[in-house]
Amino acid sequence: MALPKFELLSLADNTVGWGPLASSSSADEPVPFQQFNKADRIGRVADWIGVDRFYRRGNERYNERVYGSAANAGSQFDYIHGMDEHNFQLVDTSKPMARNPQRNFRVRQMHLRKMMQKENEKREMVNQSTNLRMKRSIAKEQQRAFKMWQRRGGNARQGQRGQGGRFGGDRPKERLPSVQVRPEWVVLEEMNLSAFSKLALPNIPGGDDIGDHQYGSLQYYDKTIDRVSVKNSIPLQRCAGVFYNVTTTEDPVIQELAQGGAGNVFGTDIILATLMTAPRSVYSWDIVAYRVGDKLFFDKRNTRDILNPVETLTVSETSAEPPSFDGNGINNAKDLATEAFYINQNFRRQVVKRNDAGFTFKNARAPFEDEETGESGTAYKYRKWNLGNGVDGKPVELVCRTELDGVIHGLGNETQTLTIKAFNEWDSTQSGGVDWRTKLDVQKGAVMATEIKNNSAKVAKWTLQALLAGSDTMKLGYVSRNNARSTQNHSILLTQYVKPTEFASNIALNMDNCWGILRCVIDSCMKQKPGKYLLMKDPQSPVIRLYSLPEGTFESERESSDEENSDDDQ
Amino acid sequence: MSTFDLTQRMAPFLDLHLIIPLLEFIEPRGIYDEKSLTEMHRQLLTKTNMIDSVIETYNGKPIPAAIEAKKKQIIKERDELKSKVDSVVAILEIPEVKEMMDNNRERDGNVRILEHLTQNHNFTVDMVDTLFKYSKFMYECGNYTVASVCLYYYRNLVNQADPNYLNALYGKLASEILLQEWEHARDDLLKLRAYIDANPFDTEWELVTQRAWLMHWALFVYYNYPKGRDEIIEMFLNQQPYLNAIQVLAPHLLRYLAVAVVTSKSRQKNSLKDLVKVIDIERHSYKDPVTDFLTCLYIKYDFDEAQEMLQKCEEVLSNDFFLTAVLGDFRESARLLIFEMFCRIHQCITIEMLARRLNMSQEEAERWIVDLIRTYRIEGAKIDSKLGQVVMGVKSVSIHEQVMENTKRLTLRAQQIALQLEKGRQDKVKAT
Repeated sequence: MALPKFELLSLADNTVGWGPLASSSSADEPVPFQQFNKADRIGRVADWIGVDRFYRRGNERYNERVYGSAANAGSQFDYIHGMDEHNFQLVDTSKPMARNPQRNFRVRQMHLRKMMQKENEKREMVNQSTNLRMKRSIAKEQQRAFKMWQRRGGNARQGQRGQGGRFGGDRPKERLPSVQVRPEWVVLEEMNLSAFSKLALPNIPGGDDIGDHQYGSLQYYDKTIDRVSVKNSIPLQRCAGVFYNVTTTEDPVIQELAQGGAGNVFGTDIILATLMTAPRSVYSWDIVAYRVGDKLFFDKRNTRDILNPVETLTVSETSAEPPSFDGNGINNAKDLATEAFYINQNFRRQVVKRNDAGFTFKNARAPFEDEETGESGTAYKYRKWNLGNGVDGKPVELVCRTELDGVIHGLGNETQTLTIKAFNEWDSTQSGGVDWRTKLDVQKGAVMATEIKNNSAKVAKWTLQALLAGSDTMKLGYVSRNNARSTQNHSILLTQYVKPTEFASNIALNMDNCWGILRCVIDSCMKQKPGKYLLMKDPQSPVIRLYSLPEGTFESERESSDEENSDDDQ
Repeated sequence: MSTFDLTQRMAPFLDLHLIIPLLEFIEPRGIYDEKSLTEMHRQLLTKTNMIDSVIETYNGKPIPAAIEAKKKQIIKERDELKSKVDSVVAILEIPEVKEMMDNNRERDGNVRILEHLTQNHNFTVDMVDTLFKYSKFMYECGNYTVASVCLYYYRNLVNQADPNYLNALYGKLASEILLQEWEHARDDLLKLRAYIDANPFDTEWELVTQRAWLMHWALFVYYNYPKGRDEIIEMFLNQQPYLNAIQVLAPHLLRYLAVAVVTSKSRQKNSLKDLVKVIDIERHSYKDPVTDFLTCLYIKYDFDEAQEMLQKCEEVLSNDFFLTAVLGDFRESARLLIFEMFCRIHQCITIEMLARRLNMSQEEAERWIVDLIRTYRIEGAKIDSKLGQVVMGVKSVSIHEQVMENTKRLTLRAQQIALQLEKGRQDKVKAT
């Protein structure tokens, strides 16, 4: 048997080194090689998701072991998209239209139409006779039309609210204006609130008390209230009393001061505070401005049953999810405001010693306080500021009625004045705040910061009222519902005192900016002719509009305002 | 007889000097035509510079004049290179320089050594090339010691990006293999493997080719290095890129992988299942008695054919350069595998049948089984000498042992609970 021959068919004869020669791969160069696993399942031939996900999930057995490095696997035949700019080009070459010119155009068109309409009305009035009887008849007709319009307007608001409730989930909720704007009201000026933030009127000294115009008697603060805490809370009592919300033009003292030439701009503290903190407000409000002779009066529009938007104690107005005005229940915005009002009145009276002798100012009672209904427990000081020169070159002298809530003995046993306010906690799960009963004792700063953030406008107004009044101290209370689902019972969880000037710094309230805003509004009103005007904050955008009101607007309410001059809570 | 010889299949992956030991191994085996084998041996030697070895192959016959002329040429060339390299080696033999190279661990250590030599010892870049040429020349002459030392110097002077760096790695590994310095060879193998795994090549195909070469050279190291078989399993079976290279370029390496798994004591249990899967997948491209033995035993469950394959395995392994030393281990482990599989299936086995299965005489089989039972403590196995049978008794666990086993954990758990309650009570008393 012949043995087979031994032949080495191919040898790697490397004469210049060791190892494989580079030519061994040249024959297979046209076909790219990719590492693979022969045990791969056939279902992964076309793997669009990527081998990372599959192989990481599998176990470490041979069949499912990761083949090579995950970054390298399957990358040999990857599609690489060219990143140059020539792959795509913009097809739509039309220029986007600017929205601002359109808005300005529409506003100007509306303005022009209103001016023409007014011109026509004036021309028709001149043509008619000047008979007095006919004038009275025209006035009666206007009143009747106004009442009918008001009824229709109320229905429209009711319907709109219902409609908002029905489609509430589909579209963002729109805030309602504080008063329905009638077509004949002419927009005289628009003030942008973002521009208000840049105004400044520095070096305004503190106000001066005007003569003997200090009215009322105050009770001393009960210091035992300061020992209250979450664990040691006390129930909020219902304290009887009277609340006066007399507006500027109905105040006999203001009228006396106006006739006496004490100033040329008049207002009350809550009205001025609302104007000064306008950039912080979210809800809509309105203030009536009267130009009489060379004087300017800022007034509240009287509302019959409900609180005026100027003095409403809004709840969570500036939070991320403010409460809704729609729907029923104890947690809609209007009911929360009412609850906050009652909490503040009851708290203010509970924390002072009502049975002890108090502190009496120069006049024991204000002229508008009724003897029969009792005292309000509030003191009123009439003060004056000089705001520099106005548009006509004359100095702007501001007269304001300010309020105080109590007095307290200081360290040297001197008498210090107080402003007393209260926060109220409603359902903390809805308000986005922290639960007071678990956090208030241990994280007082956090709770306060949350309330300041959620009630930025209200807190700023309180601080300004204290500063305008020259109050020495502010007392802040924390009042919570005993049950989140009931508004009947509350407890006082904590009290806190702050200095108004320090508190203003804490909440970033700049007095120079506030005076600047007020001065700007005063200048805008002073430029107008004598008459009646309305300053209204737009509900949707940060804008204040100055409207010109025709004669007789809100007149019918004036006759019945005397009857509702005082409200009795509980 | 020569059907299963792998020398021809492995030659394309080896250096010429590494093939020569393979030829010298199979010449006395008598499985090839002696004349053609001698002729091939002479051709290989002619391609190298080992002229004295070429002259020996003529065995008394007249030597051609060309070979004499080549010998003179080689001697002359060696003298020229040596005169150049002596000055280089003199610099590198300075103790200070040697210490720098011994402590060379950092990534940029080569650059620092070269800068040091250039500044202080008038070293030039040409000297590095001279060193490499001299290494290759001495390697071709068969002086592997000098080649190894020079390549060690070269590797410490040249940057890794140099085209000859990979050559130097292969060269030093080959030198250590031929010197049979297995410790050093293993270190060089790991260095070479680390370099290849970093994938500095242009194409995937080149990477696979490099891995295939590396695995062939690794056989020299791992089948002579203690615990080398475990490293073969780790490299050939558990690393997907290397297993892919086996499947694509060198399926014949499955024989060495299979023998490593069968003879490995620590990794046999874990790796055998994976190995059988790979062998099953690759049956269409590579078969030999070793892989067929495992196929018959674990896939076909054919004990008769497995026994035939085992006899063929002994013949194949005795003629394999790498596996002839582990033939005894393989035979023993293979018999054990057959015995284990057989005993799992049968309950009563005659020693005569077992002797036939294991290819032993009856007396040897009985003695082997006695040693097996005593060595591996196979429980339940008994030998009945009168009937000539091995009885595999199924050891049944009694009911009492089962209950005790299940409730042992229960006792421990109860103690833990009692301890916890006592601790809680202590804390409560301490709080009040």
